Parts: sequence; structure tokens; C-alpha cells
Amino acid sequence: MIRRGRCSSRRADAFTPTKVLAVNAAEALPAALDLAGYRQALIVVKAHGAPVGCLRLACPDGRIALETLREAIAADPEINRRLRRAILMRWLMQRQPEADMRRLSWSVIICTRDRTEALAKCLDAVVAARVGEGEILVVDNDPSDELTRQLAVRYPVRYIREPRRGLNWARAAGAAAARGEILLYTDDDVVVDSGWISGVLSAFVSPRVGAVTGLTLPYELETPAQELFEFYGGHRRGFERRVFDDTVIPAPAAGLVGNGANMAIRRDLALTLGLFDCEMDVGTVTRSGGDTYAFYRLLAGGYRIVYTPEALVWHRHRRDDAALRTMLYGYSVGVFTFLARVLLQHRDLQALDVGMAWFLKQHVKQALLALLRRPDALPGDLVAAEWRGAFAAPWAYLASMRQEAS
Amino acid sequence: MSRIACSVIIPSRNRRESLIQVLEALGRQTVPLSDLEVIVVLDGSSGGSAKALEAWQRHGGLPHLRCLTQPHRGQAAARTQGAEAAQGNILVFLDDDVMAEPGCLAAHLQRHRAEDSIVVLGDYPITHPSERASWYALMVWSWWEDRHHQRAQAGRIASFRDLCAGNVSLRRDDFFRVGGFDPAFSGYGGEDFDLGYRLLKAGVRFVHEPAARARHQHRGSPAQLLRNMRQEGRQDVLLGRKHPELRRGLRIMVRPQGARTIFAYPWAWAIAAAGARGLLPLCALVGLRSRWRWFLRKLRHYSYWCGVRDALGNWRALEAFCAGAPPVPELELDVTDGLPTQPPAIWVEGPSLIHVRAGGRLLGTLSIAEPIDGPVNPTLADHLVEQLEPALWMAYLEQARTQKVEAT
Repeated sequence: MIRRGRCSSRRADAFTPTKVLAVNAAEALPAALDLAGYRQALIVVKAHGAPVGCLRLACPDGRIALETLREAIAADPEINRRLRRAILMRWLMQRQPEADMRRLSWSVIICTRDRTEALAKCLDAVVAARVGEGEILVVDNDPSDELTRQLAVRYPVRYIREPRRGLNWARAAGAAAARGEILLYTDDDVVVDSGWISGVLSAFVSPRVGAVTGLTLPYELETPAQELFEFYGGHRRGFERRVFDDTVIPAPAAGLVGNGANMAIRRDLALTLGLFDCEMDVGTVTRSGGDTYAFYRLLAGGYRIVYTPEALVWHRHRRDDAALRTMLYGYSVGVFTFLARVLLQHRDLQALDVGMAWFLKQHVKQALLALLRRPDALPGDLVAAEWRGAFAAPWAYLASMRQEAS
Repeated sequence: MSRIACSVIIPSRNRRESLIQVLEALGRQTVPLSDLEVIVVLDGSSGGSAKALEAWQRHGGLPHLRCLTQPHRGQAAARTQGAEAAQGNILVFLDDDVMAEPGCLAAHLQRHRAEDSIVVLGDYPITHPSERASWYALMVWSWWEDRHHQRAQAGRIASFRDLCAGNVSLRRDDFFRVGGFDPAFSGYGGEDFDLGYRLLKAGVRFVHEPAARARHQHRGSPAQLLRNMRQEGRQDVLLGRKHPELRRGLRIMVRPQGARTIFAYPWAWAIAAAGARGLLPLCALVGLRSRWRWFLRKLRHYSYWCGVRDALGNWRALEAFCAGAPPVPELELDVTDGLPTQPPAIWVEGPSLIHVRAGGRLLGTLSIAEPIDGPVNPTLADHLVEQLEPALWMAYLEQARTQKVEAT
């Protein structure tokens, strides 16, 4: 794991960007890693395609020698354990026939709005990750120009337009148009890893697995805002596979299982339960939470959600401070509108419990840390943004209800 | 001369509406109805079922429908009576809440035509309850779904628990060769596990057939579940008495501390359980889902141990029962070239010790504590890495080295 609380230069003048790169440690490591001018690196260690951990290394001379890398890997007991486990598993299972489970067909759904530059990178990566039988859908949400359409025709993708503004409406439109059994959702600011699709599909191990989420790592760490986001928790959920159902966590705590930039859902469930048919997430007053709500519905319906690090994507965090602030505000609004919906529409009282715990653990704790000027505190403006979000949530919920009714 | 291809046997007790639906589903089968014999065995039903059946048969019904009756003696006895009366070579057992889909019987027969001496396990999933359904309905659905999936997985070794008599077929000869259902199992369930174990011992193979599909209309309540759990406790004792080698895989062997007090102070426990039972609907009312689940889990354990107490009487008898279990089986496994392609012949019904070797050297002994329900090789691989990692790692390195030398 990336160490928390050791980002000395979070918003200082002395900020140094960090190079993000991956190495495959189950095979021969490269003689040296050239960092092309960077002076620190975030190295994601993989074994046979699956990430097993990541390390932060400082490298004043701009390169990391093989010995240094080897020692750093050897010094981390967790990475070591997972690495050896991956190698041994492969050795033990060498004579097993390839997973003979019927390959599921898939549809990758990328919801986008006016961000062609990022979308192009995203599409390149998804096209390279294709495996088996599947299709790629680009859902253009209430676009202000034709640029996305013009970009999409250059790729082997289907282009769909959703005029109702809001990420959830775009997700719903994608689900309705998709032909694959599994819907893989990702965002336009994400670059998926080459093993993403196969990693997701292999986690649908039983019919009770309704959704799969995966590991989201930073695509780059170029600015203080990006470093802050990563420090704040980013999207990381660890390097071990986890299985969630409502015996493991209360369903309203669905935010723990993952996020919409890296999630896959069975199409028949998405359609029959109408998981995305609501006024939620980016582009609406609720600003986020549509993904969490979908997870909630699945957990409350008795389905399982598998988190697997093998489904890896690289997320480009917001580069500037203002965007980061807006995003944290949006997360906060989204969490509490989601909980209000669960409480009032689904009459699930556990939402009170979860909401209270979240408020104490996130908002109150961060505020205290900031007031005490602790080194691991978030900057005051971000904490304030979170508080504002929490108090804006009830109004946002009412507004979204009015919108849905009309 | 009968040309009956298969006999469907349905035991039923006071569930006439659901029984009629089951028969209607049989009327929609793709196999010719003239080849099909249906035997309903009413197990101590009040007169209503027989009358309803008669009326249904008068208005169309099925060409070969027979209705047998017996005083209430349990499903095992009812199924046996049905099997004895059956004319077909293939016996299909359905429950009175299992509605066969149109291709179900055809799929059963198809499998029997292709292979000899097999048990065909059909699917009978519960339809997913709506989101507003009771927690109980959702819990039963998840449990049943997992159970079905577990049986259907590739690369596993069949267990006696795979045989569920709600939708299963086998040859008449095989059924009687191993002695059929044992009427000693007089309540809910257990008799199918016992038959399953005797069939497996006799070398009959279990095959899972997803096309032999039916719909299970489960109706139940927490109270029903607790009654069934109590029965399960009794049946585990029965099963363990009949087959001592299965004892170690039964839940009885765990003997938690609390269980002893259930034997010593039954009244105190009965009062506590009644209280907990009263709290269940209260928890549901105020939305305390995890609390509700906790209470129900405790009550299920309690009911199970009550069942064990019913069957064994006192704690000393329980100790003797557990002490009478034969030693844990010890097996050998060679992992020099990884795990074998086919699942190795290991004991999956309970704990076992596996001596693991690689390159002629003993790496250590694997201790498997629980029955193995899933695919065998991945489960073994997990246990191996968990328990014997250091030795395994050395063996792996050594092998990688020798391979490198051979290559150069």
C-alpha cells in the first residue's frame, strides 16, 4: 500500500511529481527503471498480470537499479507474501485445464460528456483490453457539440446519445442498448489495464455475484491536487480479493465495495431492478452516488459483489485544486443524498447508523485533525467543502425527488 | 405390456394447491404423456388432497396418474411406497412444491439413455423474491442459490449431500440394489443424504444436468426453519449411527460450550429461545437486519442441538457418539508437477490429513478441517499455500532450478 501520512509536500512549493509505473515481478525484472527526469516513483508490482502491491521509492538520480527494486520488494512482507502466493498458485495449477467456465459476453460502457481528449486515451486502452466476445459502447450524455461522435466513429465502438443530462441516465441508456451479459462501466478519465476485462469476468464466479468492482490506481501524480486525492484515499480498496454481501456489511454501507469508474454488473439485473433509473450522480443535483445506490440495491436483494484487484484501471485524478474541492464536495453531497434515499424510499433504518458512522469518521475526524494542525490532516478548504456537501445533501435530495416526479 | 419410460413419484402432505400445480407442470412435459407414469403418495393427508386429485383427474388430468395413501410416516416411507408401485425403469422423485419446466423430464431421460448407473441431479432454484420480500425469503433464496451452484461446479468430487430428493432421477435397479430410502428417517430431509451416500458407495455416479430444470415454490417461515433444524439435528445422529465414517464431517463434532448447557438446563434455554423468537419480528419491524440475522442464527444452532438432544438423550451419549468416530483418514498427494489434472481421490465428506510430497520428499501434512464442497484442486491449492508455504516455496525453487539446468 501507499503509505498514508508521508506526503510531506502535499501542497507546498517543494512538490515533486511522482512517476507511476508497473513491473512484473513474477518474471525477470528489468536491469534498471528509467524514470525520465522524475525523482520519485510509485511502482505497482504485478505477478502474472495481477497487481500484488505498490511501493514508493525515491530516486535522486532518476533511475532505479535492479538491486534497489529487488530489495524494496523483499522488504515489504505483504507484497512478498502475495507474490509468492501468486507464483505458487500458478505452479500448483499448471496442469489444470484453462478455466472451462463458459465465457461471459460483455459490453464496456463509457459514459462521457465533452471530453474527447481523455476519451481517446480511454478508448485506446479499452480496445487493447478486449478478450472473447464483447462490444464497446460510448454513451454521449447531453453533448454540446459533435466532437465525441466524430471521435467515436474512428473506433470499433457503438455510439449512443442520451439527451437527459446525468451520469445515471447515461448508464441506464448504455444498459438498455447493450448486448453483452456483463456490463462493464468505466469513466472517460480512466485508462484500463490490459487485463481489465478478463479480470472482471473471472470474478463472476457464481450466479449470486451480481456485480464486480476492481482496483483503481492513479494514472499520474503530477500535481499536488492529484497527490492529495491519492492521500485522501483515492479509490483504493487493497490488493486482496474480497466478497461482499449483506452479511459482511450492512447494505447501506455499499460505498465500501467500489466505485463507478471500475464496476461491472449483470445486465439482466441492471435492467430488471432498474439500477440506474433515477436522478442521481454527476450532472444532476446529487453530484455522485449513483454507483453506490446500484450496489446498495444488489446487496439488499441478496446478491454478492466481488472486489478483485485483478480488475485494474488507472484513474487520472483532477489536476487542479479547485476541481478536487468540487469533487470532494460532490462526493459528500452524493453520500448523504444516497443515504436519504435509502432511508426514506427503502425504509432501511441501517442508513442512519451508516450515515452517523461516516459523518463521525470522515467529517468530524478530519475537522478535528485540521483544527489540531496535525501533519496528516487535509487542508482546511477541502474539509470545509466536505462539510458544505453534507449540509447541502438534504436539499439536493428534495430537488432530485422533484425532478424525478416531473 | 407397459411402455412406461419413467415413473414420477411425488410424496405430498396437505398441500393440495401446490400439488395440483406440480401435476399441471407435468402435463406440459415434452416427453409423450403416454410414456409417463405419475404416482402421488399422500402421507397422512387429510381427505382434501385425494378429493382434489380425483376432481383434477376427471377434468383431463394425466393418462397414468395413480394416488396412493399411507398414514403419516414421513417422506422416506412415502417415496419407497411409490417406488415399489412404479412400473418405469427410471424413477424421478419430485417434491410437491417443485414445478418441472417442459424439458425437465426429457433431459432426465436423455442422460439415462446416454449413461448407465447414474443419478441425475436436476436443478430447482427458487425464483428471486422481490426487493420488498421478507428477509427470510431472501435468506432462503441466497442459501438455496449457493447450494445449487456448489453442486453444479466442475472439478469437484460428488458428496452425499448433493442428492436432494426434490428433483432427482435414477434407475429403479440402482434404487433397490442399495435398499432404497430408509424409513427410519421419518421427518423432513436426511433420507436423501443417506440414500446418496449408499449410492456413492455402490459406485453409482452423480451427474448434474442443468436442463432438468424445475421451479421450487418455497413457502416457509422462520418457525418452519427452526423445526427443520431440529429435525436436522436428529437426522445427523441417525446418519452418524448408520455410517460412523461420516461422523467427523457432521456439525455434531464441533460441540460448542453452549451446547452442553442445552443438555443440562433445557428449561432455561427454552425460555431464552422463546424470548429470542419473540424478538425476531420486532427486529424486522424496526429494520435491525443484522440483529435479526444474529438472533435467527443463534436460534438455528439452538434448534439443531435440541434435535441432537432429542436423539441422543444426554451429554454422555453425545460424548460416546463423537468418540465412536473412526480416525481421520490419511491420504497421500504428490505435487511434483503441480496438482493432477483430475481431482485426486481424497475424502471430501469430512476432515482428512494429506501427506504432501514433491520430488520424492515429504513437504508436510495438510490438515483439512471441513468437508470440501467446491472444486477440489483450487481448494487444495489454497490450503497448500496457506499451510505449507515455506516448504512448498523451497520445492518450487528447487524444481525451477532443475528445469533450468535441464534446459541448458
